[in-house]
Amino acid sequence: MTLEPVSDSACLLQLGGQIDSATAEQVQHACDWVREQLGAALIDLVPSYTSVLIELDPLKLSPQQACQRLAGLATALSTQTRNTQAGQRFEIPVYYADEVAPDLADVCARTGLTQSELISRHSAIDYRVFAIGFAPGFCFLGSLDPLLRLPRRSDPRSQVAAGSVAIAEQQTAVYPLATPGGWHLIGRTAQDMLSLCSDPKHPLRVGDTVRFVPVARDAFVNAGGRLT
Amino acid sequence: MSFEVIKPGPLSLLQDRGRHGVQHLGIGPSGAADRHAFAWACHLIGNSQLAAALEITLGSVRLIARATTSFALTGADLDARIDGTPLAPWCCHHIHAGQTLEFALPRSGLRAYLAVPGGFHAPAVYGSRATSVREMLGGLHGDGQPLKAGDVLAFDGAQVAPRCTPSRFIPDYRQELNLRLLPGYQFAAFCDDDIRQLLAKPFKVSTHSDRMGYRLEGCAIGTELPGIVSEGIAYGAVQVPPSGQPIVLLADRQTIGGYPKLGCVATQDASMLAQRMPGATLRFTLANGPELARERQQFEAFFAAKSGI
Repeated sequence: MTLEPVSDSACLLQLGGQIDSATAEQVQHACDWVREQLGAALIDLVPSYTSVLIELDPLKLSPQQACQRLAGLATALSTQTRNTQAGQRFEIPVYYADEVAPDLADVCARTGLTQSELISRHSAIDYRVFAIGFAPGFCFLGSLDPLLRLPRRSDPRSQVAAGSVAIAEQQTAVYPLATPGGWHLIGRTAQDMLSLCSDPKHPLRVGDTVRFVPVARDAFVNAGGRLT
Repeated sequence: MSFEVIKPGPLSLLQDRGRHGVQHLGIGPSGAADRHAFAWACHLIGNSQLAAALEITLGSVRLIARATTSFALTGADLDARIDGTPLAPWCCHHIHAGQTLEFALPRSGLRAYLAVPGGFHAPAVYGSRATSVREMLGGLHGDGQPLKAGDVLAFDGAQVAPRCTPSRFIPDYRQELNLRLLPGYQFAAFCDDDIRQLLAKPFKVSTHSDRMGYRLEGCAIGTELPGIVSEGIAYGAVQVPPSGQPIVLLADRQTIGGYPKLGCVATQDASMLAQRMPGATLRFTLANGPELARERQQFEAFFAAKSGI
């Protein structure tokens, strides 16, 4: 574990080099603890797979002072890990079909799976939210069934439709906005990911789990899903 | 009270100090690209930094005042005029109903800040009026769009005693820039030769530079370094993609990223960088952490004491 100033108003906490659930859990605990310790001196907390960026209000605390105040973190983490709290579980309805998923056929061809095998494998796992970033509400979810793993597309799309459900390497995600993207598109959801992440009572957070649930065309369209 | 937008210019954005506390949702902070000029505009007109000002990039803007008001102008010299009469830079001015406030092309710097008493009215989106075009958030209508012809910039308005920024606080954007780098993140992963090159050779601002990041052109460094596990990116972070050409990340940066980073430049220097045009030259020097933190604290305290936060 390392904690050091990285700018005139931020520190970086590194909790390990491995992307795994144990590290992800530590990241989550560290966020709770840092938030508690720094209170109003904290402007932003940016958790990722193995690290937490801590942005400070320069009027209240320098990065050097923050590092001192967080010196007890290692001890706090070792005691906290023993009573791990289960994160929340979210279900995201997905319409898996060629008309909304331009890579579905290609992914089946490259993995050797039928469309129904692909859908059942993608929706059979509880994925962990390892990080949120790239775009507002973009959740990096892992880990993908080994049979579904493909490298990113060699020619990224300049525009991916909002709500697209995608896979790349060992991860899966929903594109919350129309953005450029290099992942393989295998379905689409009507769920607004940013509103899940910013829910005032029970926001989707790093460390929570997500499960994709296949739905029929009607259910997708009735929920506000767009076919174009 | 309002300004009517006759000519919006290539990139005119409502900005404030930026969004705080939502980067964990993947929402970037945005906010004024030049914190120094923005803070002075707020201060001259008596606003806190939560109030929205107009960040005018490259000029070519024409506004008509719909009532008499004061306003403050700082940052780039865009040859601002009221009905053809040139305005002193970094000062408060008065404009009367029906008069035209016009900006031509940059003579020095890139972005000017126009602040009005109380700030421009716009919906707060995740606690801020800052415009994020890429994220489609904030700005005049809340949807991240830059100003358009026909937009009406409403505000409360008032007459404010005229005053100017003391000349010692007005930067010369034409000077060669020194970026003071606080070593951090993966700095230790770069070899000694890379760091020697970084500190010895000048860099040029690339044409592919914007509010998200300034790409620099110069000697390639760290080309052999592998990517890293994506991590949070602080303001002013200097990331090095496989091309070896550094990118200084600014207000519209992504919240997390997976390229190795050398550390972060001082907030003040990142502000000065945001005023540079493609082709401007700059150099890196190494800085001391506590010193940069003290400078930043003093900057924020100066404006907080005068205008409140």
